[in-house]
Amino acid sequence: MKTCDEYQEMMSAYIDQELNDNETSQLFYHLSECLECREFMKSLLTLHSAFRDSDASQSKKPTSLWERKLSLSFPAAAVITFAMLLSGILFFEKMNQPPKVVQKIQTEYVYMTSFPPVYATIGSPNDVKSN
Amino acid sequence: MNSTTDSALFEQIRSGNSQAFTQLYERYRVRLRRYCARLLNDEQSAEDVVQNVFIKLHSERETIRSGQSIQSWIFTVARNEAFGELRKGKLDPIDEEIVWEGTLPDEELQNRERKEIIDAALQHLHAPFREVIVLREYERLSYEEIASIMDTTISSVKSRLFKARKALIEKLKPYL
Repeated sequence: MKTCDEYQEMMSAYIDQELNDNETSQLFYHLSECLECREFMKSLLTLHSAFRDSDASQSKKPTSLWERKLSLSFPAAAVITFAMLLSGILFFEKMNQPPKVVQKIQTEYVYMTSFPPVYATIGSPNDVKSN
Repeated sequence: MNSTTDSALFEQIRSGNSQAFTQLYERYRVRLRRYCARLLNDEQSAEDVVQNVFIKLHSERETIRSGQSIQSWIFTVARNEAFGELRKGKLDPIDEEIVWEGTLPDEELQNRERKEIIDAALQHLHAPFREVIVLREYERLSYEEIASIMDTTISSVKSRLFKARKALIEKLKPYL
């Protein structure tokens, strides 16, 4: 089990695109659960962006394949990263939810237990349905 | 845009082509001067280091191994020259835990432009941490290239980058 410090070191490598798919997946899973690490990730991206902004006036030469092929500014890349992060979080949250069929049963159960069994006085549930 | 690779240019330099030498010099001059200026915090010394690197490249062209990354060779020599300048030939042993060199008072950061704040903070980072940030954030080199230039492991590059960034975040958060 990794510590938050170890995950934060992974984040530093992540913004340098030095993590493999498996490590990235582990990192995003942790981010979906840890607010402190999400805050750290945000700060890392801000710092990274500040370096790129401060460098922009001195060098216009794109050196990475990412910049050469896509011509993305860092803010745009940061937005995409956050969108990916958010998708990851939503994905893991969704994974933690019960399957749809269980949700349906739960909803119906809540519905059934939230109301008095009126059919006892007005007839059977089948009678209510047919109306 | 000139697509001749560094290695191809270097082979031409080896066979006495002075135009290839000029081309390689022009390719690296600005980046190298900026890298050295950030290490030394002095433009003139940085310019001197750049000159020395290219003099050395020319004089040692026969002994530089074929297939070696020319970019790594250039940055490694520049680094050694810069540290030689900075430490008068002596490198302090690296303490992986000491991120800051001296103190960086908050008053030094207040009411400054963001670029100046970053430069001020960088100058206060301990040399191995400052260097790894410059090579990654400004020169945009890979961990492997940085490890080769700094004569260390990829894992050490990763760890130093993390420690430097964490220290910078703690210090600069109110100003970013």
